[in-house]
Amino acid sequence: MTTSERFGSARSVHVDAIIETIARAVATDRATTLAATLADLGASGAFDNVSLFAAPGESRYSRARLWADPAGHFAVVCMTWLPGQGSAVHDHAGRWGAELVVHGTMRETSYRLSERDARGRVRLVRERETPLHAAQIGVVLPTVDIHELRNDGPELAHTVHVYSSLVDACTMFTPGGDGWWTLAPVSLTYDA
Amino acid sequence: MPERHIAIAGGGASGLLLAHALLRAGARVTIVEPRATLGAGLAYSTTCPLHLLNAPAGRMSAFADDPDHFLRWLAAHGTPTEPTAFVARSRYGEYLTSIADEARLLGGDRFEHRRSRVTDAASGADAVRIRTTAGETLAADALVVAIGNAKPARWSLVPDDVRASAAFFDSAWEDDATVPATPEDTVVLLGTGLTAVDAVLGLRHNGHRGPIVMVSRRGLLPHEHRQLDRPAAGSPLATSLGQVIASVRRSRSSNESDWRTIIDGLRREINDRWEALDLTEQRRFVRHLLPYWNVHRHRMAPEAAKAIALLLADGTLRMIAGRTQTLEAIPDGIRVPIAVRGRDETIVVDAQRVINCSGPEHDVSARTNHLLRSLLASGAMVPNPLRIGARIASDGALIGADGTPSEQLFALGPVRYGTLIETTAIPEIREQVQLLAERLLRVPATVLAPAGVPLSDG
Repeated sequence: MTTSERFGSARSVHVDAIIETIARAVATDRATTLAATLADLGASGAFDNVSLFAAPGESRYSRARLWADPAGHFAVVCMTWLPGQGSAVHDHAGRWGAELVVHGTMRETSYRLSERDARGRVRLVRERETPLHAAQIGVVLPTVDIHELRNDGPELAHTVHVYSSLVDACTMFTPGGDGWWTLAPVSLTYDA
Repeated sequence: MPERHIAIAGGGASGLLLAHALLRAGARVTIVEPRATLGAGLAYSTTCPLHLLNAPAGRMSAFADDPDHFLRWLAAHGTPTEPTAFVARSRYGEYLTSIADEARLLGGDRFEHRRSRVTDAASGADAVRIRTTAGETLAADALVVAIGNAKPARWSLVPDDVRASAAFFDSAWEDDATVPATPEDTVVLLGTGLTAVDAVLGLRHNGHRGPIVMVSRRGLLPHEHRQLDRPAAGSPLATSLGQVIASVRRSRSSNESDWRTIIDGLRREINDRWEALDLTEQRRFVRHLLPYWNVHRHRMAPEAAKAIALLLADGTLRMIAGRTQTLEAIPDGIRVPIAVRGRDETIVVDAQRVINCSGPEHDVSARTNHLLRSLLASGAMVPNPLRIGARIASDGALIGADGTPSEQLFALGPVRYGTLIETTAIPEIREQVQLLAERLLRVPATVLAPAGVPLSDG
């Protein structure tokens, strides 16, 4: 199976067509289907136009909201990461989705929540580190949705994220010295 | 009260849990099971760490009256686990093994494990007489058939030379089915359900790196677990399966509540609703709705979905909706022609390995198990009119050819499929165990000989 057999010849796809394709995948309610669809879109060059992404920021990675579904079923966010920039350890507020690396090399570190104490702190077990190269996909599914992402390569990285709702909040995990992590709700902002 | 002696054919999860309940209640129990270890039958014997339970830990207690038992066991054994987490099936096998140890302690000399299989059983006036492959006979007040899931349905379009070839595996659970000869082999999986997902994960764990093609008529992957929702109560207004489906659709499109909570809430009710349908409606359900019910109800762990998504995305794993045509032996493997669903197109895949990942054989008359064949031959068991499973009363008693429920022969777990739609998962089995144990303590007790002493044959 070569790429051309699976996807036909590469062609440029407009944002409307991208969104329509993603909407159909989201409607199947399967992250597996969404991941395969996002990979197909990436392979067809749908995200090659860098104007879809925000300019890189010096203080942190940048987010551009490409689409917010009027029915609230999904959101598409394009992210730009300078080398070494990364996210905090965070969850996805019960949402599901998929994350595609368009350019560059990211590293995903996944955590599993193992215990909760009476004060609401948690213990996290570091599960695995996955290098995600261009065209590779990460999937977000509760309850395996606690992770951090980092641009692990020498170049600028672009990633496309599809989430199953418009909710712009998640929980950030901050390590204490004693093995327990504290939780803080955060609201996401956009740079474009 | 006289002591009952209950024999159980099969020592997997369902047989063991029933033994435990009966021993706790003071009965005498003989389990006939060739495996040395009780509890971990086919379902929990896998050693692949990627094979996870298909339900979160918080729902997997072995005891209906103690829902947190598994979580406490995990914490007591050095692995505190959130109720929403998905644990390796091999870990659940260890949990069941610890319950087997407890059953032995509870039972003392009231408990016996015979390392063989039941080949036939005959009801008599005072006892059911049981024969085993070891050539032994034993007598008990009742026999419970707890032999677990059937082997996969036989794939009919497989010529003899293909079936005999080393490239064809009639079950994903055969030894070495998921150990590829070379890492680059092209593998075709006949089926796209949870067994096929297990086969993909097993192949990757065993070092396979080549292309995998999954085929089923509808090309439906199982859905993914999302979170541990409280199952919603089924819609009180629904009086037919059609209305149930409509209410699930509504909840899904309204985005108000997750359809998963509705489906899970229906788990208990689906069996009652199923029994209330007439034969025509049951046939329609099986033909049109069951495949959809299965992929919504029997979901995969999120970790499994993550792995499958990666493989689908990078093109290693390909999913085809279509009908597999007659397989053909070729020099280095098997040629698999697939008529693509909804298109006038046939895809031909030359594979080095083909694994039958279809669901269990539900037609009891097609099953090869000796005990089932003997029960069918004697008329103690009859196929139900749908030819999905056997006729079984609601208390688990086999209904014989004469139409009366047996006082001595009972079924537990997957063997009840057809009478019930949901009967393979621990949450269903533990409830059946509780009710069946109570029922079995009321069967006439007449066997006087101690269990360990074989009665003369005949």
